[in-house]
Amino acid sequence: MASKEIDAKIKQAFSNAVPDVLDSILAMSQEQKGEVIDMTEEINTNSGGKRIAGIAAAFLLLLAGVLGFNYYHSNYAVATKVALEVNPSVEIQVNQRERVLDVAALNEDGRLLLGDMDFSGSDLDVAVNAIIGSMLRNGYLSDLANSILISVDNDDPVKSGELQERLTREINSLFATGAFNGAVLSQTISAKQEVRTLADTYGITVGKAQLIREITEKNNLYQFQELVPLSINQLNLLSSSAGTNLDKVTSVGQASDKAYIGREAAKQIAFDHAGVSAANATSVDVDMDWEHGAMVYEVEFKSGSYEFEYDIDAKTGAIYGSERDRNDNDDYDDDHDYKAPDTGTSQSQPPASSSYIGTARAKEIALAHAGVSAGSIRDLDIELEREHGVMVYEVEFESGYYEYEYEIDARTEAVYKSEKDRNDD
Amino acid sequence: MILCMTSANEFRETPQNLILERCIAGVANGDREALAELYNATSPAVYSFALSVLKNTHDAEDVLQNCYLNIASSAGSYRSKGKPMAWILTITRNLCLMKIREYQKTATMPNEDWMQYLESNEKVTPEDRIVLSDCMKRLSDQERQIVVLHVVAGLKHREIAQALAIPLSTVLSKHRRALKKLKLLLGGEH
Repeated sequence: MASKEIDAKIKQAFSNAVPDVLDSILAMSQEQKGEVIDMTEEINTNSGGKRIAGIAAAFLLLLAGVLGFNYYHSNYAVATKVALEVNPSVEIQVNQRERVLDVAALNEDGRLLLGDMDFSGSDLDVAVNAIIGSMLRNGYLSDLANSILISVDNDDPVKSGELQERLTREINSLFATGAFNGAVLSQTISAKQEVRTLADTYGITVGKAQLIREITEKNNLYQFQELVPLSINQLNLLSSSAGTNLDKVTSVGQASDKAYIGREAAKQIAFDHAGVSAANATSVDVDMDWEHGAMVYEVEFKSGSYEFEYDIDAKTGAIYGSERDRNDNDDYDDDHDYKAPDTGTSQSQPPASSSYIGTARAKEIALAHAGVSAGSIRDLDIELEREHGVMVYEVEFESGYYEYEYEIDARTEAVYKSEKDRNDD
Repeated sequence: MILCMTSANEFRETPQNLILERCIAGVANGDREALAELYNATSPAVYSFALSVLKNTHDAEDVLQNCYLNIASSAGSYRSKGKPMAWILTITRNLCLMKIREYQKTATMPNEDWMQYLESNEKVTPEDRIVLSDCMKRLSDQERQIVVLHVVAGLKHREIAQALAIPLSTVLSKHRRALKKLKLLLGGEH
């Protein structure tokens, strides 16, 4: 029997043995909060003058409680949560007076970014200033990816809106001071349970979930799940492309596409492939899009009696798909995967016939991540599994003194989990 | 390269962890649904760890209950370190140690016939009983705790070493020994 089967059996056996005490926990956690009442009852059992003193004491206690609650409420209760996301995602929790109660990392990059910075008690502005500064210094915000998402979460939508506007202004002026050409997306978190459930399901922040939801609502060609691995900058590029005008998200500045080949280069690749000169092309339209698990430029143009459509990998310039359609308004792809007969040096690279990256590629990614060679590994095991609603390749192997375990998204190649444990057999 | 490997080692931002941290944040704000969700997600780990330490279903159930009451009252002080499960199990372990200390003062730990108790639990199948019996009787205390923390709580060996305050090498070798025993016991008939 494999270790995995044994593990599964043990897990099941113990899980089944758990007594259900949830109801009593919920009841008791309620009781714990009402404990104060017991004290006044005890005082009431006293006699005579003590009794009045007791009542007075109880009243004072109550008063102190009310004052204490107000004091607590305005000082220690979280009034607003502000999430700042680039790829590092952090959440600043402030009280009513906008003093920082806590700054929490929402992902691994966020943890690295925060390090041992402690903002407790400082003003929200100070914390935002320091965090943006650190994002710039550490290159998380750069010319290649210049977008940041601000999500403000306060029960009062008016306050949220005001703070959202103020923070956008502040961050923009911070960018301006550093002569940085940034792009700011900002939104107010609505209390929609649906968005929170999506965030939990996909293990992303509520802010990002709301942004993706907004994009998928406006452009139904996208599915929520396929946009999950995208960075804020990539989402900003998509949302600013035609047909995706978001109304719940405020956008200032232009998302950078400097990490990509650029619109002009994409156009040129398409023209070359089609054997059409730029001068002969009309109605040229270039949009950024997310397809085949990659950022692509979608290039459309007309030439002569034909309409052309290309999907070009935004990073490599590889052509994923080309279509030539007779300009006869029937939308029928007369000549799928059209290739100009004599011109064109670029190679057409359609995506793999299967929508998954395949076990060989998964293995390659894991080995590259671990920094070990294929020849040095033992006990390799690769399985395609559904985890948290996403198809992943689970790759396990041993090399040297270590055991490695990876979970790799079967479509996007994102590494969800990487573990390295010493094996001292 | 060194930096690259350490960050790979400490890569703990699994969706599961994020969900647990959201729940803890919700519990801190008095959200009872969050407490219920947290309970549903983590009670197998808490209970089986308590059971493997105390070897007594009544005490384990006590600890299970107190653990979530503790979480409800202290969630506000939880600081996100990407290890919500380890935090919950630290609370569990402390409660177990308190139980053990109580018994040390008064009497010896009661040696309960917990198999009988499990038979009255409808969810536990006959096969589950065999597995539980093997885990409880054939493994040493530490072996059992390591197996439970690894399998049910999903902790890494390094985290188990921290949770039990024993060296990593001990965790690894004991885990291996435990797995070998279980393979023989559970896979013996094949």
